[in-house]
Amino acid sequence: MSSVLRFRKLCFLEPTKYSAYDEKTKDQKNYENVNTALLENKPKQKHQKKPPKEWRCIDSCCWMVGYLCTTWWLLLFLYHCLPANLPGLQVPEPPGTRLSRQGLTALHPVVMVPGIVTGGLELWEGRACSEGLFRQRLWGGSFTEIFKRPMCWLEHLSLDNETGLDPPGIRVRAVPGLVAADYFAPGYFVWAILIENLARIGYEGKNMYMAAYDWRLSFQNTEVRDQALSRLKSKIELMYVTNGYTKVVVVPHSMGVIYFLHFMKWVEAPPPMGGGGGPGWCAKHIKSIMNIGPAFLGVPKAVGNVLSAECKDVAFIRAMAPGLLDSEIFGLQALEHVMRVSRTWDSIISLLPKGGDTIWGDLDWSPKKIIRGFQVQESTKYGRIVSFGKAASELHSSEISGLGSQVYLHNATSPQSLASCGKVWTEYDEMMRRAEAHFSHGIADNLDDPIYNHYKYWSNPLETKHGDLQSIWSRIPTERSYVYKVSSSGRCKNIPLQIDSSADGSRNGCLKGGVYFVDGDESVPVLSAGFMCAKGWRGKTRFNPSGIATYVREYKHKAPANLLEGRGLQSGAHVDIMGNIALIEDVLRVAAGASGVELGGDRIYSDIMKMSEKINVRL
Amino acid sequence: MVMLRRRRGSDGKKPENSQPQSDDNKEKRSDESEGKSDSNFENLNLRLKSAKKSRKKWSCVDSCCWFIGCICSMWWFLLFLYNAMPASLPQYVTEAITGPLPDPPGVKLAKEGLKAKHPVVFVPGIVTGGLELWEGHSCAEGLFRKRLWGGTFGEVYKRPLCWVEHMSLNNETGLDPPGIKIRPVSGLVAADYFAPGYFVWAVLIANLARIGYEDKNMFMAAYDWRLSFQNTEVRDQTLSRIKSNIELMVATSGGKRVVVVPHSMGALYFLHFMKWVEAPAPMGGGGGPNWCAEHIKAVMNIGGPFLGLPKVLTALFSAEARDIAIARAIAPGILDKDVFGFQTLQHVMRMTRTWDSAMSLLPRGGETIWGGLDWSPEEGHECNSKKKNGNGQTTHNRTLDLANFSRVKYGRILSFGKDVAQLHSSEIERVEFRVTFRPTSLIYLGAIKGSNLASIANTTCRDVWTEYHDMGIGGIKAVADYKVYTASSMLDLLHFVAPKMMKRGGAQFSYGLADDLSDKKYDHYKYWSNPLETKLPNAPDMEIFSMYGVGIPTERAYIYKLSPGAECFIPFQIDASAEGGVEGHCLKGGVYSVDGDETVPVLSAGFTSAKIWRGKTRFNPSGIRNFIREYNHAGPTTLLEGRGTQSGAHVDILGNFALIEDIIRVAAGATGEDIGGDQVHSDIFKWSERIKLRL
Repeated sequence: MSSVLRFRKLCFLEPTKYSAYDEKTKDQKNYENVNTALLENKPKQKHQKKPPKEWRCIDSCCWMVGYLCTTWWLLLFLYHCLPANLPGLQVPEPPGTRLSRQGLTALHPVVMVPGIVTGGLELWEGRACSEGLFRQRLWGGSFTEIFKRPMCWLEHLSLDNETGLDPPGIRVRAVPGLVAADYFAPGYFVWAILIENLARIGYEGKNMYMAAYDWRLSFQNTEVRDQALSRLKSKIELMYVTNGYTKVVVVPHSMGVIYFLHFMKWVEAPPPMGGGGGPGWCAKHIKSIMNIGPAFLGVPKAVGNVLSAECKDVAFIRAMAPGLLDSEIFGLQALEHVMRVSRTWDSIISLLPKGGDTIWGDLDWSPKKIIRGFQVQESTKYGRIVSFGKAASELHSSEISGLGSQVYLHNATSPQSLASCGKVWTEYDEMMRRAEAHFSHGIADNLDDPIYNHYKYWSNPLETKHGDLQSIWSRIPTERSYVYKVSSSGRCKNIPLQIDSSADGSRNGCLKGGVYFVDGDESVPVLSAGFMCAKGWRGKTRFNPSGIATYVREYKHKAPANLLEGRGLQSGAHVDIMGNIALIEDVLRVAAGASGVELGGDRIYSDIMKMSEKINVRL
Repeated sequence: MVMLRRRRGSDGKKPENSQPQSDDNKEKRSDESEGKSDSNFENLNLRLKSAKKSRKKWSCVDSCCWFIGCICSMWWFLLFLYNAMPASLPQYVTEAITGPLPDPPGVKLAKEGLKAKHPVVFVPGIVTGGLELWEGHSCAEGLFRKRLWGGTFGEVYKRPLCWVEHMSLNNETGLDPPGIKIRPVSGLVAADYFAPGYFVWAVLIANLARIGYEDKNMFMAAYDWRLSFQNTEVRDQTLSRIKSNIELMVATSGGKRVVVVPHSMGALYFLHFMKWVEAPAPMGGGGGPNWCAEHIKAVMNIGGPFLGLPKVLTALFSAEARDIAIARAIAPGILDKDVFGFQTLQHVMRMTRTWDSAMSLLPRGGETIWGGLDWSPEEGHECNSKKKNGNGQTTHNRTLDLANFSRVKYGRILSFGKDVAQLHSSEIERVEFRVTFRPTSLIYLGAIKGSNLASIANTTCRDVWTEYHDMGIGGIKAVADYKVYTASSMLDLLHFVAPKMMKRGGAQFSYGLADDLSDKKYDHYKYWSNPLETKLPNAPDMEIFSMYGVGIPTERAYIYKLSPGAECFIPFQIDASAEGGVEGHCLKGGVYSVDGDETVPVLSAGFTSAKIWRGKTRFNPSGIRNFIREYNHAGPTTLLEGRGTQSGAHVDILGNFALIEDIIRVAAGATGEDIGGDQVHSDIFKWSERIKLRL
């Protein structure tokens, strides 16, 4: 280093010397004899020229880097010096602060149930290639391991083909605690804003619980492997007792909604299969369930996608690491690898059948089908939803259009989408066959197995234990608030378009058409989110014999006004809605003891009611 | 150069007109006289100049930039190399240097076929658990759910006063001050690493994971270690939480009882828990009299200070013990330097004095256990017994001599002056004012306390709340005049110098020795964490292990002096100049040491298992089996080993392979006999014999 410094000094002193001479040369104005001078001064000049030559390449690079760094640090420093709230940059007061000034305090313990993908996963035991990652996040966080050792990462995240559980020698577990899903990646909040606002009215670790579970597993398997459901039950009971026997408010998001539905059935079921909480457990412990962006009826987009090649959640990875999947990090078969991994995730597979089986299976009058029949049935229903969505969105965007055109569109799109979706399903079958050919017949088993298991599982409580289901609903003297969001037009277009780049071209017709017309929150169409509350459970129906109060709260999407707002305070997008001020306020009020009526009951922007009307279901 | 000179010339035109001109002329003339070669040189320069226009800009700033750029690029390059390095490289290097490493115990035992069986509960000790902010004053903005304690301690540097304010508890209640909520971090992350790279439980967790443990059958019973034990339940329902978690784990693992591994203060906390959980509902957990028997297989205390720590006395007395804040070790600079203004120690003392939990570590049992003026259980301990083995006969003789001619009187936990510490009790002139400051006769206190120091001290001193200012010069002198303090009179002394704190502590903890354990008063929670005043639960199948390191000198008694500038500083300090003189003497830097694990003396860690709980006694009515497992300290042999795999130090022992192996074996189903029963290196049994106690 010292030699470098000395060298530096040499070069640094030289120019100033020149400048002193330069001044005089002006006076002399003597440009003659240059050649001789050059000759005479050759040795000297050489001596002088050498150091400047070095300056050109590496040094100016270094200079550049140093310059940038210094500027960066300076800016960083200035940024830190910045007072937290600059005038003109007023951040609106967080709802928690406002409500705590209004005198709201923590009352009901809050249980948060994260959805798919948003929960972190960490490694507990791995192969040799994952050395040094013990208890490090494989999923969530900065995802650095994808880049460092992609194959290893994929291997550890996939589950066993046959069982849907851990492959031998690998244990990847859900991160426990609030950290599991407060931020998905650094700076990308999921629950953090809600947690922070809850904390402002007095919530803390003892009366908030994040029901983190391994979202790759099928729901029942989380209990089999991790006892996640028992854990959740015990935590709710504990909070119920330690907070002076106040019931809990449950806030599930996305797939968490279905998970919690599963939990409620599980907890009251008798021990070998269920939690043995007895028929009154939910009534005793749960005040209300505030579903955020629920996917009760499944995600049509996902019907097309999830089972076929890249589900929306893999698309999510895409969003996280855009270049990754498209470029060929994994070699030639990036998509195949992803497909293989995601197909081992029962939960993704189960996301759809769940909609199909619990809800649609009930809507149908003969839910018991063989698998093939089930698929066909799915597709027709799917088509129906699409057409409704299309009609609705058409009505939405062009309100002048009369009933006739609506009907026309309805009629026109129905068969069309039916056809295209049928194509999806046949395509799906082809995919299956192709997959069989591509990988091994184990995958076909895999796909069949979970569906079958899942189907069996979910048909059991719905049919053989239908009386039990009734008893759940009928004995809950609580209300249910159903919260979801509406974006004004088919913003969803963007995501399908992104998925379009996937291998399967023929699928896109349905995809594009299917999702394009659906009013929703980028992931979940409005019908899926709201139908059960708008119709299926509204009033006394056979799904809700006791008439539990249900509410639909929609939040109009408004994109962030400027960049400073980050992901928006009034966003309605599927995940960003967790930062929506109005939604947070609703959650806070309910947690502090308000009922659905006090909140203002229904708040509807979309045509959910009308859409629901159109669905012919015996109630 | 020329420009400068010219300007100067024009500025001072009138008075010095002739002089600069002549200078210029001279210069010109000399230039000319230097001849053509020079002018040629100038021309060359001119040409070079046009080419070098950009080069001319290289100034100080540029070279700075260049330098920074150089360093940054270098750094990135190295970082890149480091990241590109295969993860196992350090191990290869280590193995190349030191030979193949032994398998970590987890791997070794997994090869033997051990499998996860009993769920494991960790109970962290004081200081090692992380604390995070849930609500704070405006100065703590942006720290929501960030660690204030543990992690990098970045905030200590950034906003020290704010940090101290938030870490302190309410002086009166021992709970949160208004507007501030600091809560323990939950989950295994609470205490796996204390600071980045400084493991606490991480090694043990990693090894347990090797035989199949994971989140569902390991539980970190994180609690706010600043609170008194019962207050953790009052404020956070921590005890209920632990109970519920243990019940859950027992249920989900098919009825396997848990193995509890408390460390340090966690041992006392868990003792408290075991009493709490069986006590009836309003005060306790209402688990019924058989709860422990049904849910706990073994309690494996690691370095549990059952009888308290002498160093806590001094920590509370003058904020001076080595360890009350590991923080000191972590950031040696801050506490000694004057980050907080010039009263660092006062601030620290004010903060630590609001932490009730520190009082759970005060020595218990008084003179019966810790020794009186003229006797102590550890008498005759040779501090350099280790060296004796190496150096042979001569040293041995000398230490014998030494032991004969001045037996350290450990019973005198605190003495003012070295000579006083060694005199026979009859020779010490003590001003007998004990009566006056006994808490029972507080009336006299006023008289002793005399004029209020605070009125003398300037206002800045008053900002820092220490109770010394209420004490007055008279009080300080009286303290010093008493000269020698034993374990029980130390408590009186603390009552004298810090009445508020001791009042709070007295409501939460008790330091006595019970004569009749069936007395109704012992049902109160303040006795639950004192092994000398509680009965163990009725659980004959349970096992209790006392595991601790030995072979490190551990603080046991102190020599104090009055500090010179007593106005704004803490008036007492350890007399660091007091040395034993002879090599190997137990007195060093004003501190007498005994055998222990650097923090906990052997007596405190092992006495309960060695004596009062051994067999069926009145403290252990159901005859729970007790085992002592001592681990001889051996420092890391090379730097590459980090903190060592055979360490016996208080926290580092959690990375001790032998200890980890024992824990894993028990967790996988072994009993105390299976792992070898007692394993004793120290004189704990001999010393326990000396303590006269009705069993």
